[in-house]
Amino acid sequence: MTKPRVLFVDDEPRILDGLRRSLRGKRAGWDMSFAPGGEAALELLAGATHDVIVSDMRMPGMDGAELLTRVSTQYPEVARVVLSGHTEPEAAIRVAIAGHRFLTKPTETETLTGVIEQLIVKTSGTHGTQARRIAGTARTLPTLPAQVTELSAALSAQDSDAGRLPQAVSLDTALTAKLLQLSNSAFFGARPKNAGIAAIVTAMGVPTIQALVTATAALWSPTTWEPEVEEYLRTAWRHAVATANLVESVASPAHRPYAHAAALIQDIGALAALAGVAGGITRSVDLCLRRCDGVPFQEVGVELMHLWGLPAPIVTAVAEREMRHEPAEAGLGVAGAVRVAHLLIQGTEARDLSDGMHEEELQNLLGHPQMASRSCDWAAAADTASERAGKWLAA
Amino acid sequence: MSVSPSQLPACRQKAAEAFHAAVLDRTAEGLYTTDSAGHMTSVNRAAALMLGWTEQELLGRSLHDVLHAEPAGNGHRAEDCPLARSWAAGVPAEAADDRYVRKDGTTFEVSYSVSPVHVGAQLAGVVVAFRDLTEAKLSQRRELEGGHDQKLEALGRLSAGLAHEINTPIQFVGDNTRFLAEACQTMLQLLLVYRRCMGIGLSSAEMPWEERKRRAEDAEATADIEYLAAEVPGAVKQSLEGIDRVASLVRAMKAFSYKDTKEHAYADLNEGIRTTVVVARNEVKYVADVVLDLGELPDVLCNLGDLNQVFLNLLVNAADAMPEGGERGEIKVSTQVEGLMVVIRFADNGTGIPEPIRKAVFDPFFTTKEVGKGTGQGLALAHAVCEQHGGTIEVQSELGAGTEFILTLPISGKRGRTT
Repeated sequence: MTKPRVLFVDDEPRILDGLRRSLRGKRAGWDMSFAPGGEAALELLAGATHDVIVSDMRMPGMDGAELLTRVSTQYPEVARVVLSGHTEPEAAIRVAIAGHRFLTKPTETETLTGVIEQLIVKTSGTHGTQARRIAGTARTLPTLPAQVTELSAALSAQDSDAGRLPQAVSLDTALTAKLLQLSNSAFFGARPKNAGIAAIVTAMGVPTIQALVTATAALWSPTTWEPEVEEYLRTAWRHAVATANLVESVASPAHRPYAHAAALIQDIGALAALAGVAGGITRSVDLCLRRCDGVPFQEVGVELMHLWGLPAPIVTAVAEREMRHEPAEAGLGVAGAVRVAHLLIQGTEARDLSDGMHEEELQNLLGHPQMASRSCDWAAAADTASERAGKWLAA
Repeated sequence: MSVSPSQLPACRQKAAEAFHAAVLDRTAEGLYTTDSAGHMTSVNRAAALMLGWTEQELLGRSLHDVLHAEPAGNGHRAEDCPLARSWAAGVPAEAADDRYVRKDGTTFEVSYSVSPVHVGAQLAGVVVAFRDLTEAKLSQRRELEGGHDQKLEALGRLSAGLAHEINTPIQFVGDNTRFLAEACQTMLQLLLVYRRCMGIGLSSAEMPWEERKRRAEDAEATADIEYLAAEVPGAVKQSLEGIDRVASLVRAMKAFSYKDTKEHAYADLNEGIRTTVVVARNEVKYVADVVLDLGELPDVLCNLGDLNQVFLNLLVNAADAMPEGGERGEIKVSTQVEGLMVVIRFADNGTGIPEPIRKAVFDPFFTTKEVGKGTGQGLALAHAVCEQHGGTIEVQSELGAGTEFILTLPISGKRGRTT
């Protein structure tokens, strides 16, 4: 079996020398190569299959953002890590779109090797590289024009209505997913674990969000979707927002931030697959069988969440959304809460057409002490959530 | 009220008196008159209010005793009193500065003017008008502080770049040091094997020579001694380079902001330029090379901190002038002496400044840079600083060929400047 290949790119030769020496202990496990710039890196990538690329951000000629963007289209199976000494998040937005993980200089050897080891692993047992290629193509998830409009409006109303921005972000799947990815990195400001979207928005600051929205809008606004794809996106979005809305009441307070985020990005695999199609890549995306080139959406989604380093409870909840949930005695947890909310929404207008009702499982879950102890008409709550989501979508 | 013609002169007289009274009492400026001996003969209300005396208390007193009262006063002796000299010479003075003492002993800054009053050829006394400068000084200071904010803004853009310039060497110094720590450990282990083979500290002196050789060779192979011999010197050298880089950057940062005072002192402008180039390295290095052609310069009387700001702005502008995605540019900075002046040129081979806006580049808030990149204060600041130094700044530009800014500064500073 060949060793995993890792490529390091930096315009400062001393950085490459230092990495080569300090990572020498890894030479038994990895094949490492070092490139002084973007062009040299692309040549090395063309010569051999790589697993991970670690690149500097600012380099003369082709910079890190351009290099990683090219890698995302030409070599989507290569996981993309940024290692940069720059500290200003706004300048990092271009690279934030193109990269998977973000490390700041100085980074300790152990941290760097930890991230690389993680990214060498591919999550899908049966479709490893294929799932990686589909997920790796997606730099951001598709956004509907209406969502960009609302986000822009919320941004310009920032002075008069500070609450509108977190609200708008927490209804936007693509931005929520991106923020969860970025908030995992010291690059974009440290914050407490288990932070909700509102906390992340506050921690990152309006200028960074602004830059992200602009970059995302520039990426997606020229896209014209096939009518059936647009219809799918709208349905999926309504289902996600309704579930996220409902799960706020289902989940225990400690699990709410993650449960909300997981519900919102529950269809991340399908969105990642569609992102590649919009990017001009020929793929057969079957929206009914929920497969892309034969790889289940679920596996694509898990691989993308893995690449982006999303928190484990969110990854689990999204991965298990389509699976029968056997609740633990102690409580539903994030995954259980998302599953319950998803099944409840299946009984409303905001249902996900690719999944059924699972009536018996739902009754079983509603009988769980966490649900039964609260005197709540869950079906009515689900209808309210569905109606709200419908209104937001229409607005 | 109807006025008959016969009453007119008296009426005019009254009107004139009322007018004079109004001028004396209502005007915000302090006014007083003295006789030829310097004794106060009249004082208006504003003067009395500002000084804290009543009119009656002041009349007949020597104005020098009152306004320059020791010890809180400004310490003029009577014969040095600029007021006394002014009327002794019979020459008017305009907008001169002085410090007056109030009745309670506190002082305040004033600007005053003196007009001698002649009766025939004789000097009958003087009229003095003065203004309290406290407010004006305050607002001036606020303006200066505002200027300081602008400076900080320029530094703010730099600080991100400086962080990068420091983080990069710290990364490779850390990596190399970790490598050296491992290498050191490996070499120590090798030494221990050697030691045993030498029979030191052990009673294994009977170990056959072949066995010793074999052990030493095994240990060397495990340690990969060739690799260590090749890499250790480089790791040490680069670590030291990295530390030097951070140290020189920190030194440059300190020298760059050079005693942030209003003082002008003789300083080496070439050194200032070199310092600024180090500090601005991260803003420039991705788009252009900086070529220094610094001639022999005498020390120049200047505020080096302010001039460094100017150099910084010109460097950053030159870097920003490089065409997007174009070839690597060149910024040439040269200095030379021309007579009593020092001439500093910042020449770039960037996009150039179009003719119609060339004149506006020194205007405050004029900027062609995208929002957030420039405040339009850089060249306005440069212009103001050059003027403060009694020098000039000019621009020559050709579209597509580049731009040159030429600073001309007098070696001995602005003549007559009192700082």
